[in-house]
Amino acid sequence: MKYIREQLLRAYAAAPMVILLFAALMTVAAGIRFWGYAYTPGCPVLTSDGWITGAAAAVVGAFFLGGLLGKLPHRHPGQNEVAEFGAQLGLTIFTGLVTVVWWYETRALANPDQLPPITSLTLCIKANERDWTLLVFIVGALIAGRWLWHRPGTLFR
Amino acid sequence: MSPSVTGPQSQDVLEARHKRRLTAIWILAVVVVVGNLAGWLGFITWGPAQREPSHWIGIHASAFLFWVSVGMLLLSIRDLFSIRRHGSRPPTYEELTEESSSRFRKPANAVRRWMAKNQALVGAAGLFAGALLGHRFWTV
Repeated sequence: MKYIREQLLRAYAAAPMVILLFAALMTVAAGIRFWGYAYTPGCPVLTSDGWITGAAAAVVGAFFLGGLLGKLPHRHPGQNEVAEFGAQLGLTIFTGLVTVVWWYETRALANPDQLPPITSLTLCIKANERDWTLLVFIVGALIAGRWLWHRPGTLFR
Repeated sequence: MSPSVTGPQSQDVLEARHKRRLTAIWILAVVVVVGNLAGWLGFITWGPAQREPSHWIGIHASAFLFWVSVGMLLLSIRDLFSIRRHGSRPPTYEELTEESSSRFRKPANAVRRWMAKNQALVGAAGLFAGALLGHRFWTV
């Protein structure tokens, strides 16, 4: 236990741990907020104009900010068995979630009268809960930016 | 198909990696082929719209991606056990892109190297492409 704690407290693990903690807190908060969310087929359809909006700028900015997080000074971590196993475990859980999502989407497409497809749910939430949608996209872009930019050998490093 | 590779890695390591790669491809192929065939032949019922010709392509395209996900999940679980039990670790990018004379791997390695070198640029391009597609098709 002490070994795992020491591995997790290393400096290079700080940024992903903060993002992970934030994402976990947001998931819990969103779960509380949207518990029993009633889907209505007649959601308002919003159209945006061709110009870049503040929300889009925030998401793109978060992507580049994620890249900057990787520029924080840190030593090369070297081989870390806990981190390697954790990364594989996270990948497996993520793949499992993607599998569940595709199972639901296929069922929804085959049962249009009973289950709404994910796209319509997403558009509904986007139309009714714009701030939450923006927050999710900002965190997603931050994670993607850090993941893509923090490795050695990537552009601008 | 034996990869002709010249590099610091031993032939045993390369052969073992080649064998593991073939096993992974077989697991993925069997899951995807068997799962989709079962759906096309009606052994798996996704819902009533499955029988309607106008929905057939959409439903089975989605089912195809579901079976690909199942295959990837099985491979991830297999890797997880492999790391836990044998302490094996995935090959690095440098090990995977060693020089090869194979007519398939040679161009693929060149693409891999370029993408790894410009990883952030590829990611940013994907982000913008996704935003444009989302804006165009889903009006978001």
